[in-house]
Amino acid sequence: MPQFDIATFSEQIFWLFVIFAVLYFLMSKIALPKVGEVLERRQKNIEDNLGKARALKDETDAAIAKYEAALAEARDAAQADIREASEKAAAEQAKKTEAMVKKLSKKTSDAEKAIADAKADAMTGVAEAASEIAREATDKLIGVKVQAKTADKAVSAIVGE
Amino acid sequence: MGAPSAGVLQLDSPWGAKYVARAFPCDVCKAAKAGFTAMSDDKDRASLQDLETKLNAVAHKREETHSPNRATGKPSQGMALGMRISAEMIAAVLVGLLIGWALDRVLDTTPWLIVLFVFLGAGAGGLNAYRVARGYDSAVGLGRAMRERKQGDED
Amino acid sequence: MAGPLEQFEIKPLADLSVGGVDISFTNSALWMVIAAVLVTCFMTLSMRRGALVPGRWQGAAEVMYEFVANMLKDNVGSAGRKYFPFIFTLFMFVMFGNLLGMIPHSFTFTSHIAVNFALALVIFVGVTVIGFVRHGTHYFRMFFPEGAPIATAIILIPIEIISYFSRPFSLAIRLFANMTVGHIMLKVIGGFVGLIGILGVLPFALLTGITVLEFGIAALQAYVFTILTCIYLHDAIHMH
Repeated sequence: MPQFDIATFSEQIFWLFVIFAVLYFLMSKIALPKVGEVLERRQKNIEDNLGKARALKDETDAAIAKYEAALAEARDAAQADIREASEKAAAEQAKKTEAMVKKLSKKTSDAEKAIADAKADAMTGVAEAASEIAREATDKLIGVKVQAKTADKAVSAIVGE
Repeated sequence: MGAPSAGVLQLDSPWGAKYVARAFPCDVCKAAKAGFTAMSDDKDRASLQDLETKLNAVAHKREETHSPNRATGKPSQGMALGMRISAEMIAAVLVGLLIGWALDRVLDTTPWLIVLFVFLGAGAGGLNAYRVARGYDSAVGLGRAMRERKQGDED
Repeated sequence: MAGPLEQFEIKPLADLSVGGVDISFTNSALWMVIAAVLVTCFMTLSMRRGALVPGRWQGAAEVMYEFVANMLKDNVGSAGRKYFPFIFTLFMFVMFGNLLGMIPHSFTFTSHIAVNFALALVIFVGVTVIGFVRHGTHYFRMFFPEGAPIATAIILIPIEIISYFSRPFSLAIRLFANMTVGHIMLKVIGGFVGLIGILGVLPFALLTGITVLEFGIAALQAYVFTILTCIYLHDAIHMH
């Protein structure tokens, strides 16, 4: 087997060390720092971008929260205004209605009183006329002169029933 | 005779006024609500939520890839395993042979030490082969092998 | 027809000698140079632009870098950082040597015990020196497993010493055996294909299969060689 030919060992090992040393030098001084630098730059870039995205996202969230708070506040204020206005309107309405009711009921009671007066007047007029008619009728029919007082009593007894 | 006044009350009572007033703010509310929700777009909200999950996923993944996971030597199989075991055996016996031969020459005890060290080499080869087969992979360090086996038994 | 061992023959291309030591430039040295040049070109030309978003070649170079870096980090830890250039050079050199050997009529310098053993010996000596520098005489504890009964020391210590010294041998022999056996197998079966002509379809299929397998072994053995180096380094630095 050629692998066990000791005569070739020295040349193989010599060139192995020379070439390996050169390759080691090239890798450690030129190639690997470059790769490391590129990878590091990319890593940093990615991290930066992720951080930026996170920060922007947080900012957006904060803005949304703020906006929502403002919105809720505005909504509450609007509702309060509306409630106040409607309550005021209702109160005014009620007051007006009450005044109107009062006025109307006063008018009604006045009218009722007037009617009652008129009715009482009429009633007294009717009673007087009835007693006079009754006296005259008794005088003419049976020739009895009835006292006005008696006639009044009789009429009022009938009317008052 | 009280009927007309009762009629007026019913037609234009404070309750009626309140009824109208109650309906009014509700309509306003509805209109306002519709306007407000239209302002904060649902689509934008969804995409923001999406961004959140994406960012979390990326962060999680990066953490995972950065966590160390030491390659646990699993017992390999077949031809590769045979090749490795035979290499271990040959190497150990060879070293035993070399040490024995050198000691024999120095101490002038030929052939006793070479015989002894071939046996020791075979023992070391067997030990190494056992370690390779168990996946410890380390040529030296029975202590670790024993500790790991203990841990393995406990698991 | 040439025998299956002819491919391993060392042929001097330029005779050189220094102080009576033969250092002729041979086909072995030529293929080492080719491997070194290819590794250098691969690692520098692909990274020339150093783009943030890598192209195909740059991506491949970065994958190799990260693969070796992770191997070192997982097996040695952060203390292994300063040995990264050596480990990387070792891995690339052995892997390119193995893979270049798959080219017909090429030469596989990793199939030679002298090369492998020289590499393994450098690793062995280096690791041992690191161990003694870091731990002083305490490093001798490597040769006696903790927890074992003292009475067994007389037998265990020689065995552990042999085991320790067998490291460079097993490293070298493993790589040598894998490369040599694979190439002999390819050559022999390839010879069959040529000999029996049209009937060589079956050996040809076999040859194809073994070629694929050999590519896998070429990469795997470079990996094994490197990862064992990492494990030895770990033992020297952390002593388990």
